Amino acid sequence: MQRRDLLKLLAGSAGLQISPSIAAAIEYGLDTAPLKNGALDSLQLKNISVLAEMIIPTTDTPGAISAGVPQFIATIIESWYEKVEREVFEAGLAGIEEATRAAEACSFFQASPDLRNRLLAQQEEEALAYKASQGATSAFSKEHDANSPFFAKLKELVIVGYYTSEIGCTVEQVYAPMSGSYEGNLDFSDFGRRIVSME
Amino acid sequence: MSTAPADFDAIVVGSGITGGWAAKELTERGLKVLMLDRGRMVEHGKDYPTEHQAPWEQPLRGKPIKDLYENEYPVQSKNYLFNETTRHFFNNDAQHPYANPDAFTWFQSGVVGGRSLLWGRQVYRWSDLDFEANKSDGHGIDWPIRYEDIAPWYSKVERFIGVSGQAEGLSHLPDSEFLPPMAFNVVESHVKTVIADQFRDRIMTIGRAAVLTQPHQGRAACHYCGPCHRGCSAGAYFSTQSSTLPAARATGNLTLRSNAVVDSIDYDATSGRATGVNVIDSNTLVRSRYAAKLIFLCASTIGSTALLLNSRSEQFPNGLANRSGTLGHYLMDHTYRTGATGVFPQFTHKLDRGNRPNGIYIPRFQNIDKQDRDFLRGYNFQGAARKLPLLAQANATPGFGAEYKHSLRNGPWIMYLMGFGECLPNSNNRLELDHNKKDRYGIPQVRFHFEWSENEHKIRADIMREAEAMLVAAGAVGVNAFNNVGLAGEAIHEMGTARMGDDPTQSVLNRWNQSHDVPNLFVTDGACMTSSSSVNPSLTYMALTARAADYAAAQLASGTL
Repeated sequence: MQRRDLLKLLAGSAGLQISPSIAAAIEYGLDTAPLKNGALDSLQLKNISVLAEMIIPTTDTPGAISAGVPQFIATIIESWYEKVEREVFEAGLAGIEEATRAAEACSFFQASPDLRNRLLAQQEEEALAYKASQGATSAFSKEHDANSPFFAKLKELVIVGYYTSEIGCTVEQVYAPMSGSYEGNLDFSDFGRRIVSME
Repeated sequence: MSTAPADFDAIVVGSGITGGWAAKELTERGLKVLMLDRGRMVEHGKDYPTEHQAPWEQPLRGKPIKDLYENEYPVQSKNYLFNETTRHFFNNDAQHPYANPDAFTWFQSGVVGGRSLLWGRQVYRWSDLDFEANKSDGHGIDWPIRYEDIAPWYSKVERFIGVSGQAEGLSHLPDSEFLPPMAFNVVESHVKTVIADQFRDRIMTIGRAAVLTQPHQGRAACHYCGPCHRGCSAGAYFSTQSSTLPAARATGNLTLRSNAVVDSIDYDATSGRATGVNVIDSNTLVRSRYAAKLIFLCASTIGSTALLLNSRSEQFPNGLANRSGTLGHYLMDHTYRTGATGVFPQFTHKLDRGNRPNGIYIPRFQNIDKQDRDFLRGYNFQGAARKLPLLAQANATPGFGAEYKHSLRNGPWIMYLMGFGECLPNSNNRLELDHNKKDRYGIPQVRFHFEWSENEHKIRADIMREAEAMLVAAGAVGVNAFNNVGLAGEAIHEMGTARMGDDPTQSVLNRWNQSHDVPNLFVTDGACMTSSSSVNPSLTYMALTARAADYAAAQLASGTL
């Protein structure tokens, strides 16, 4: 199966029409990076899709799925992650899948919202405990922690994927790439959003 | 070996900030100039492929290409600007290596225009506090010039490049000829007021930047997109491509050759002059030679000195223009990555719009009129306030879901203050050539020796104390002083190794940036610096280059050279 077919499948399985942004992401070629690590399977992609949407859901603005975040996460895992990172991520996915099967005899992406929230909150507890054990990191550090737990990896990818997406920049925030001036004393209440530029 | 079809009046090696100025000034005086650069050509505008690229258009959304960086850019990838929007301007470390990156960080460009495309654009005049520093405390030798010698050249350079800033009337940080200043934001204005009220020995001013706040010399004003280092087709910041190269080309007197690696300079013992340069084409490896009456080295602090060290002859067995034995010695940089950060939650209801390519500046306030600290010389602060970056806030905020998402729509401001401290000239801090390690052209690689001195460590301690005191006084919370003592070179203000001085036995260059030993040879980049000041050096390099070019052209016209 081609990657783009898989992506269409996962969009469909999440009960959503393919939004223009997903179509654009698929066509743009986030999925054209060489597969360094081999492809994720369809169940993993569906679970990733639901997890991403749980972290940044659709509210009065589109959520992670509309912004193409699952495709971004898949690309990073398949083409960019080191072996150990992928192992941690896949073990995390397998763990919540197994727990769902035990509790509700279905896959995580089909589980009740209550169970999904409980399982993800549990993952976050583990990640927070790990972070507390690591101490402070330097403000200038470009270091990337390959050993961080599943939830930390997932959340980092959702955040980067969402807030660097076109939706994340232009709908969730006010995108002002060339404002023509610098104004340093505006009232937040006039915007209700962050104002973001291209970098 | 082929011979060049034409001779030139002058050869300029390097095309960065000083090479561009040398080419402009010499061609405008009617000299036929050949400018050589080892990098590939970058044409203004058309070779800025990532300019204005949106975040969602970036491959892997800015994630590093780890294997490539480790293998081909192990040094350059540590640069704060290095990513897929800028990689094409940087040196490929695998192709142009140096011997010991564990001793010194050498950030280099790999293109025509050099680091003028990537620089921080901060421009400040030095003063006699700086030019008299060595003489006052006995570290290093005295500068052969004073502020009055260079002041008219600062003006000339500023009028051409365009410098935005605020006049403050300080004698130890003289004002430039300014375009209108950029604006402070609400937090910076607050901190400025607190400093004025509670720290009477200092002021805070807006950064002085070679970024236009109004149209100037045919270049457009800044449109506040932010990442200047991707290239600016509007020409709103000074670079070789936006400014000096078009001026030099307009004379019809410039020949520019890219991919031209200069491996040595020829010396003629009979005339006592440098006669030309030997060049290797980086694509074809074909060698050629160019002759000229004048040679200007503008290949960067380290590049120019390495080239002189590699130009050996019977008369100069230790490197051309090195009768003093000081060539390669007295390497300096500024202290970097020492300062403090603080959070200002009281301004969360405020926002800014526009990506200002500039910050704030607190001029040196230590040891001005008298010695009042436990260290020699001093430091300045550079910094900025901004909204806490979204990705940092998002990663630091626990939770997920709708409430989490909406909580990220606003956040507090943070401010950082970082000190740039003066580095004492020290003979043991130096570079040499490692003849056992050669690059793909057969040129020996540069090897560095550098250690920070006790004085610089004391400066760092004071930077932390003062940064913390100002942020706390201004009501910041979570104030965090930091001191990441890294390798020299990280401030990218490397200076010295072919210093100026009046005494030919103690220095490489005279007061005109002219070699004491080889009168038609000039070095006008950072290699010439006799001390480091704490003040950003690029404007001084430009002024010294324009001054030296004027002198050299006059000497050539009068027949002295």
